[in-house]
Amino acid sequence: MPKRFNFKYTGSFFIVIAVILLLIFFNFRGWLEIPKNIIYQAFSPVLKSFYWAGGKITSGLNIFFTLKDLGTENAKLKEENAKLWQENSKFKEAAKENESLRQRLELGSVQERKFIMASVIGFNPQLGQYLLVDKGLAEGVSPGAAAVTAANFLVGKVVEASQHSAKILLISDSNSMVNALTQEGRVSGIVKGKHGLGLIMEMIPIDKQIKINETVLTSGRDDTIPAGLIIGSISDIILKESDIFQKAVIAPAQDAGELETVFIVKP
Amino acid sequence: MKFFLLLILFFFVVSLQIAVLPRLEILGVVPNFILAATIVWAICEQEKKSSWLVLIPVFLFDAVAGRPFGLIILSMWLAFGFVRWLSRSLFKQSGFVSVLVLSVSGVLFYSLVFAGLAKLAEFSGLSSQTLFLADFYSYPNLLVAVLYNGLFCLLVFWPFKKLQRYFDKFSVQLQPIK
Repeated sequence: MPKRFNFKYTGSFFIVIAVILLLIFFNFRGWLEIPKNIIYQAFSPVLKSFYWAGGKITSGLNIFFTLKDLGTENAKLKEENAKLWQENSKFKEAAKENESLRQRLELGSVQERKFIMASVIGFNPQLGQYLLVDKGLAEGVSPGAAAVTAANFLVGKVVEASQHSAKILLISDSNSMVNALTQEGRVSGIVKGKHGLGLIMEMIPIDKQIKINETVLTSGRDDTIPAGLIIGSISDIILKESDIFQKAVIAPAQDAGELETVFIVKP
Repeated sequence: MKFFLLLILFFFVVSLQIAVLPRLEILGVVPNFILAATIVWAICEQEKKSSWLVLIPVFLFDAVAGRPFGLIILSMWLAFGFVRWLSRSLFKQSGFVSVLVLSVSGVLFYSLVFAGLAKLAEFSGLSSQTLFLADFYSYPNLLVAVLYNGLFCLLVFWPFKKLQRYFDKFSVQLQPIK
């Protein structure tokens, strides 16, 4: 005997779809902001605790995987530290000289940026690589603002902001495009994300020289991303004879998975 | 009481998905526990009238982390319906092979529907941000996502069955003695 078509089940299935479409419409009109904020407020303390706990467990477990490399890494870091100390002292002198020249020429001091400190409480790769943070419109976060680390490394850009939360699209996401230039050669290009797996700098003119380990910075040509933020360093150069542009693989300055706090640039 | 316990469980699961599971990322793919639970629920909840309960954790997840709101819940509900239809018409739920095939089919269906709806949202202006400049996922990434989440479904299946038996026993114990 053939199975009877289950009208009741099919009917309720389509009713649920209709309800979901209605909710999507309400969200589009902005009528779901209050319930979403309430849900978010309920989740926020729990998410913070879970994110913190997850970070502690991961860093604890990582010790076992990296144990054998600790000695080599330690020596490498000491050498790098000494080199950076020397460079830092040189830059401090240059900064003092710059300040004094600006005063003499009456150029005024460099405008300092203002930041909003936000804690990372989650990470949702469902539609791109982005972080959830606990600051939103009420705290001065605006869509399009750049997000950086304490060391001025570019993390991403705010793509959505609710009252007390925001979503930051990481630069490693495929939808992310940032105008950039190399620090020494001042060669410009566009840094794009590669599905969360890394960064690639494209549209580099074929006649321009770029070097491995050269630092890549933001150029400031984007409306909302200031100039001078560190994106990463060149780890590989892709140059084919038939191409009119060369590409460079960029090692990001910051691993987004390790972030607990970000600073959102105030417009 | 059962509903209250389920609500706490849903809260825990959604928090785990957003705050902890991203640390298990492989090649840019994070295991989707909520998708796995939805598919497993579709495989297991054959005759019961509690299908709508699966929408609660999905709705909470979408409300907190979805972008834009609605894509995740719609895609998961369609995947739920698809897996339920497959398990009723083609596969018996108890065999390992059928659970594996249903899991992988469900994850693949969800990924494709989600990509399609995201493109639709972008073109129809429901999403204010450009969602896809690059091709969706790139095929290797999609393959990793389907295999990883399919495996996750298998891992969720047996604990889910045990939990289901626990809640059924719990409901029976609370029945008044006639």
